[in-house]
Amino acid sequence: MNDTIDVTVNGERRAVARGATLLELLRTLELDPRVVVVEHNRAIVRRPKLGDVTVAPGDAIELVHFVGGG
Amino acid sequence: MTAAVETIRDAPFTIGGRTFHSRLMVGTGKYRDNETMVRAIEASGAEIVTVAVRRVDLDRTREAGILYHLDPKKYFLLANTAGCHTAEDAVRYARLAREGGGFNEFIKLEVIGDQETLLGRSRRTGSRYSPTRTRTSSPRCGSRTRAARR
Repeated sequence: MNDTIDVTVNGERRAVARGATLLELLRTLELDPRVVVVEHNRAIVRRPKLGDVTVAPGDAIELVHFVGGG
Repeated sequence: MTAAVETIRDAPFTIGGRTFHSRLMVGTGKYRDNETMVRAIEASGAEIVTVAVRRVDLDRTREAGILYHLDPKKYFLLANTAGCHTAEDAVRYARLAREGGGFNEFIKLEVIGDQETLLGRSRRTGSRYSPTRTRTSSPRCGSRTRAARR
């Protein structure tokens, strides 16, 4: 059984570990969960819940943050 | 040197139930470096500081976010959708900023029209948006290079 699954992160196809949570995905991408906002299949997942949500094959994840501008 | 100018004090004014003492709103883009930005904002005495919500660039994860430099407890951070080129993306990112960022309920909604001047598309910004409409293509927020090529 394959131990990775394909998901879409910010429009790019990515292989992530099967059973990984959103929090683990952020860690893999070296992103700080305190400053990143996560959208999972078009639903916003608040920071305390990131460790509770497991990603599934084909999921669409959008990661945004705040930068200088505007 | 970086102290706010105490002699200039606007009469307090209220927007949406929040009272501000400075009418100056400052941005956070196009500074030489973050230190200069922080000092300039502090010296301006502004309370409202706009920050852009953007898609994380996965190839450049070292790019530090603005929250490492500006304290949301010290400034009233006004999230804006600079970088969005369609009304749908602007609304989507505005929601992400408001609900996910958790600073406050204010949003500066804008749709960028000109990549060089960053002037807005007032028609799109003001257009009626149907939340039931969905896009299948990836949003262009934060993808300045693609917009610049057009």
